[in-house]
Amino acid sequence: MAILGASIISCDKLDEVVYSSLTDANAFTTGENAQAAVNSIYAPLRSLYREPMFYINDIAADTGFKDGNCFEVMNDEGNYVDNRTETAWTLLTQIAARANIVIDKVPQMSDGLFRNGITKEQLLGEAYFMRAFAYMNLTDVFYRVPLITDSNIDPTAKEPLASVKDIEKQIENDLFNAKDYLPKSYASRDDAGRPTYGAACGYLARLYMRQAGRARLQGDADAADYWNYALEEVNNVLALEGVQYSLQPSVWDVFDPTSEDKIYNNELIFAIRASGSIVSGSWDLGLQFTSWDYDMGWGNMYQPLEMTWKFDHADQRYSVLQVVSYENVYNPDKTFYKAAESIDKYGTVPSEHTYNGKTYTEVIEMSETFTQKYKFLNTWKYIYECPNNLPLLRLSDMILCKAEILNELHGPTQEAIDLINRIRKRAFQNDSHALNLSDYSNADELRNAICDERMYELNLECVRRPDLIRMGLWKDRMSKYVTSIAKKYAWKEVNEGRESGYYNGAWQAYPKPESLSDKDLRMYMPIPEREVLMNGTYKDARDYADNE
Amino acid sequence: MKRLCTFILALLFTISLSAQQMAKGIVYDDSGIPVGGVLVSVDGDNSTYTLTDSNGFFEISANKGTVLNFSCLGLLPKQIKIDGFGSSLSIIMDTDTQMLEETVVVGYGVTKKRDLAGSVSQIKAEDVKAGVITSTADLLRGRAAGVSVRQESFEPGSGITVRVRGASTISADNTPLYVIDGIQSTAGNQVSPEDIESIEILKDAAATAIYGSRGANGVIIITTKHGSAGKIAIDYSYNTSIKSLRNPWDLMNASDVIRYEMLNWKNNGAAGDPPYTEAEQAYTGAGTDWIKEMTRNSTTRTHALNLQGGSDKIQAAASIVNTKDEGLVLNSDFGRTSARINVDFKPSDWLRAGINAYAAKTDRTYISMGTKSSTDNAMYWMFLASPLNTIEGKNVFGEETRMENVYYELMYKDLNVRVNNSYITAYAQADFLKYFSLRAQYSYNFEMDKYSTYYDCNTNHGAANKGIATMEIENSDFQQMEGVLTFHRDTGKHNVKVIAGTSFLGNNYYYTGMGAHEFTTDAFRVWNMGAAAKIDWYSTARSDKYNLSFFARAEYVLNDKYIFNASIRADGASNFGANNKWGYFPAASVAYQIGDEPFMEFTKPAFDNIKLRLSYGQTGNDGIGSYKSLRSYAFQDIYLGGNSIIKGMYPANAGNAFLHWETTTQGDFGIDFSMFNHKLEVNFDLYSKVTTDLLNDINISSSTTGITTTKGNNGVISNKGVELYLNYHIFDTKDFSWTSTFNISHNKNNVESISSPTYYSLRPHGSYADTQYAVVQEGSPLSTIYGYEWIGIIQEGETYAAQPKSQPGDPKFKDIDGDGIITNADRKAIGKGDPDVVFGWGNNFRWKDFDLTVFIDASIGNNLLNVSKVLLEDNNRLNSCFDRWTRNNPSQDVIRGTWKRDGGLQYGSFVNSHFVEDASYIRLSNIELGYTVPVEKLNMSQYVKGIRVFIGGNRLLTLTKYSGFDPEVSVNGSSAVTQGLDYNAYPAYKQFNAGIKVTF
Repeated sequence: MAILGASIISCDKLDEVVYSSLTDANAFTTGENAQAAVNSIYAPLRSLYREPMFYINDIAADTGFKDGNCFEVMNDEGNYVDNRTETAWTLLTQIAARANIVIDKVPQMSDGLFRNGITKEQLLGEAYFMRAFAYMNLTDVFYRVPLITDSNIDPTAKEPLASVKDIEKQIENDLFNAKDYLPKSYASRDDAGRPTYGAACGYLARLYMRQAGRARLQGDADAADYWNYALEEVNNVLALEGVQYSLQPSVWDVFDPTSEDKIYNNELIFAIRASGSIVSGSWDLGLQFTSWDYDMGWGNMYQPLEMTWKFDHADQRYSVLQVVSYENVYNPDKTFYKAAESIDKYGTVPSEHTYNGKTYTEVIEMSETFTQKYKFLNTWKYIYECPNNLPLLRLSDMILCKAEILNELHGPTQEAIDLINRIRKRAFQNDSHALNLSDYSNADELRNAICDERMYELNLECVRRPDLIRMGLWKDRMSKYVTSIAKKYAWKEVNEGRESGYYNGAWQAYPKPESLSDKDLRMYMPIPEREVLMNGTYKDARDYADNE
Repeated sequence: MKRLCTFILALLFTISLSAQQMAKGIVYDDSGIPVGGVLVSVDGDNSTYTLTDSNGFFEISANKGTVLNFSCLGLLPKQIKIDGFGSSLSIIMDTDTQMLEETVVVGYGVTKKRDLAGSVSQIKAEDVKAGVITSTADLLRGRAAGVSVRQESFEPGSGITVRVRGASTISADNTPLYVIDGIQSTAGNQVSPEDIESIEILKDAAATAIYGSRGANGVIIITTKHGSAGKIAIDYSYNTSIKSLRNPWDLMNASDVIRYEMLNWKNNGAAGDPPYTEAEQAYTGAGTDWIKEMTRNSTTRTHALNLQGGSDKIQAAASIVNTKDEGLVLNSDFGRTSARINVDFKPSDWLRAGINAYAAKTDRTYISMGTKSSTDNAMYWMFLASPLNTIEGKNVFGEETRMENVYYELMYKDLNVRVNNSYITAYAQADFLKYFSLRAQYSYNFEMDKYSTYYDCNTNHGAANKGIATMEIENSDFQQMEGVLTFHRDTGKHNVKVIAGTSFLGNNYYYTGMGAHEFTTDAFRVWNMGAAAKIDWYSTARSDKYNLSFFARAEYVLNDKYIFNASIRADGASNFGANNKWGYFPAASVAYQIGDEPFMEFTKPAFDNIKLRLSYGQTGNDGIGSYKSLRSYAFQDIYLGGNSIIKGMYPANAGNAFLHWETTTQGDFGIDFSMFNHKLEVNFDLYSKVTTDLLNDINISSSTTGITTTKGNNGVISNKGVELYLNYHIFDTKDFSWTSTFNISHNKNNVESISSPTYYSLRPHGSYADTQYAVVQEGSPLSTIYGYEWIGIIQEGETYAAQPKSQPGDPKFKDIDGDGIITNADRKAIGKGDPDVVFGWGNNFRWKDFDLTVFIDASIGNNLLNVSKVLLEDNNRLNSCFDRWTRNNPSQDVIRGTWKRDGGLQYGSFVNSHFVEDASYIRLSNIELGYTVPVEKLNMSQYVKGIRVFIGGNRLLTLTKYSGFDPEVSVNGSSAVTQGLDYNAYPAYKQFNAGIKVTF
């Protein structure tokens, strides 16, 4: 019987034949296949920017708010186990690892495999850009991370942390390659989500500005070199203004999801794209930033009142892009929500019931405000998908960067002021709120103003925390933020006639201003627990001495 | 059914008549059935004897004081002294269990129970009264020591988790191997309970190692009913039951809600308008009980028709069974129709051959619940539905209002699973050269699983998509080919049996699926997906898996006393790394009938036999699917702009060329004995199982490949335990008998080593943070519930140093690591999902024509994390919320705020010991009263041979401290690592049964 069995079945049946996926043996055998591998590098972006990067870069700074959230309170222990920190780590490393495969495999493929407009250069350019993008963000979020560029690494390897300098060297090289290989634009909107030459220059500028900012704070003489490199790259981008890019007539035009033309507006240099009609191409970004009662949003991330109170009410970035009062979508005639107009009015809102000529039975004071940058269009429908773009790099950011670089290199100049005023002119739709050079006597003063302007312009666009660190204003702005929160509750106690200290619990969760420092661990996120459990050395990632 | 003592029929007989008086009577066996052909003789008088007739009746001449001998093969001899001649004698002859040579089915053969050296539990279907059940696994519940059977949900047709001696693996499959009439099958649960003759559960390595790579989780051998020569019978049975809701939740009704919200409004300073007008506040009705409204008293029924019979040359059994099981919750149902035919031919003395064929169709309509997202969770909406709203779409004050979600979520979804399963097996067995036999067997099994969903426009999910449909079809072609050569020679002193064989398994799996949305009508459901405006996805896949094995076993019994067994199996499996495809699984065992030794003679008055067993061996587990050793790329949809979806290719599996077998090494020590003339039978086992090279998802840094886990061999799990089984014929007389069966087992599971802990998270709803609640870590058992230790609520004026930001009314947690602050490190094991002890206690009583079965089972020492309670408490649905903390009500039970993400909670989470409950229970699992109609007395025997009717109930009484629907639920199905979670589980019920069985 054993003979019978052996004769019918030979042992080679035990070799696995794979039918429905590719293995190293048969992947990367066509140009189309290589292009598919490039396409997947972008796949993690949606989840990465659905919540995690907002938490890390806005909620953990002074431009985002979520009551009771560990990021909001900068509770370092909470971040260590928070699934958003973990998701950010996983997805950013995933982008880098997917790029590594393309960078290793594509050069080995013979040129004859690439047809139909697919080129090796284009594929490699995208992969180099995305690897740089991943490491730029990883170091922005976690400071030090392991640097892995080999796709054939043992999956179970425990790689050491690399120095920020080494990682930046790699980012710079990758972006140089990307700059060489990437086109200035794409003919088809189908490729709108891919990086371009302009995006590569923009990210190089961001890299150099970060290096320059760090060098300035450390008193290094080479800071000026970095600012000059940055200037060159920003100029490369701005050289395309009028050709490739233009500042939109109003801020709403940058974000308006209702028209196809606005969705593809040319202020965007690099953005995550979403479809309003194809389910697998759309996302629920629009639901993250508003409350259920406003438009059936999920209320995961808001704006702090402290930021809203800083806006001039004539600024469209306030009047158009912020929700400071609304009717309950379920009870439009009954319930009204309203934010206090200034800090000293906090706690007074429910005392009046008539607004806009209408009397409500219930008036509730908002403890936060909403952004309309990612406006949700499907209220009353359980359709979560909406064609909201998420700008990762846009022209107004670059213009403000140039102002910042010029200020760092030469102190306040009319050229820098003019750049800022371009942005302000658009925001106010007139020149009446322009800055005057005479108001700024030194670089520090203008840096402060640029910092504020970037907050008005780029809040909830995932740039705030790196901005504060680069400008050396993290401690300053976070102290002001937490001080203002305490003051807000003091006003609430007064306005509601409660005993002093009644709301202590609401603000004492925040760090005390004096506990913040210029080398605060909380400037960066800890590498998540899941990784530290596998590699204990990752606990030391925020060792700032590394770059001194 | 009358019994005939055939052995005696061969004798010639005469009846001696003399001047003495006539003694007369009826001989019964121990189950009360008259026995024909029993030799009745006068002690000391070789010439006076008679045989009982077919009704067990005898008449013999005797003197007063004469002793009569009764003898019959298979029954223990009996002597009766004649004291008088007035009345008819009633003689009960006990079954000679030793003579009957009870046999047990083991892997690739049958062994005398007496000669068994391994640990095997045997269940005869006819001995088990389990009430009205639809699943084979339900037959096992509580019946065999060391076998835990847990209902995953009370939904009809839902899974049942069967574990033999604890969970021994993390991510590979923990389900025991089912072998149905010699065929390895995944469909053990699809066999209709009515078709089953017996079930053997192989527990220790000595018994399971012959199944090598697939034996590590124990082996359940199911033998279906076969025909026998000379006996032709047709049975028809009909069982039915009614299930009625058992709801222990103390939910607020409408007037409670009004009262609560008014109280809340006042406590908050009575600002603004009160939530209810004075007229509304006067409402005192209960409003709508949505759990009641959305459930029903549902029925279950089974028709079963069995035919069996045969001659010397051909025997056959056939059955057809139809089951319909309505769920307690609306729109959940299960149905199965199965047909089976087993035919055995015996053309000559040396040749046997046969064919088994089986076909079954099951249909299941289910609801979505458990940890599903709240958009698509019927139980979530049922729990949260307001009692103030009525089923007519109004509120209790008569105003039109939005209909409660639960109604749409239950009534407007079609969620279906259909399984078609059929197999055919052919075998031939030839005996040759006196001691040899050769058996060859081939079987082909086809299974099609069809999963379809349709959410129509009334549901949340359907409205968002204008109707959304999916259809997925899985086809499996499974082939098994086996050849076994057996040598068996019994000289009386030496009893030797050797088997050797080979086995080939091939499994080809095919998948087709698609999804579409945006229909212009709900009329098509899933049946016209081409009518959808948007095709979302379509997918096809194929995978193959092959196993090739060689095995051998030797059994040797010396002097009917010393028993030695050894076996080895070599298994090759396609799904392991290139150089690790083969595994070798040896086992050895010895048993010793020590009770038969002369030096143990002193035990004889009480003990009939005493056997010691010792076994040791290894088994494997390959249940990880295919292709895990290879780095592989999968495809996905990508959108980068415009109007087109493009394809992306990404590394989906990191690959591991070293992937190899998981090995379980098990030692077992057992004692079996029987006492009081076989009235009491006892089996006792001690075992220790260690699983090494654990197959699981090893955590890897995503920085290397972008993937967070890879399948690998890592870690060690141990299971140690004790099992005791008792079977006691307490009373046994003609009119009354009582048999009691009791089994109890204790298993201790522990993760001995693992490279890094793995946590499992839960997000009960979008408003809660994603929170870890279970862990696999060194030193804890699998399914450890992991969280904070609740120590109460911070009261007014109290400061709790470890939680400086907390306010009065916030929960207070223990500073476990003593660092003065509550952090993530202050979590510990706060419960475990698997029980310490399970027992089952069955009692069968018979009084005249009545029989009564009482079956009690229990599970002790396991916990449930009651997340349903978190949700109900946070949403003020429980009456206990009246105790919510306020400045005026210093509650120690309900916190001031909520456990939701924006609830302001600064420390800890809802995963804490306050919501971990003791889920131990003792349950009256089944009670059944039957009546066997005395067809002969009623002169009906020419029409029917037997009629039995019964009434009874399942789960009529449950003693538990658990506050949720039922302590038995497992919302994570059969997962080995996350048992112990109750969240949006299906409601529990009591079941009232009735049935009839007629034998023609």
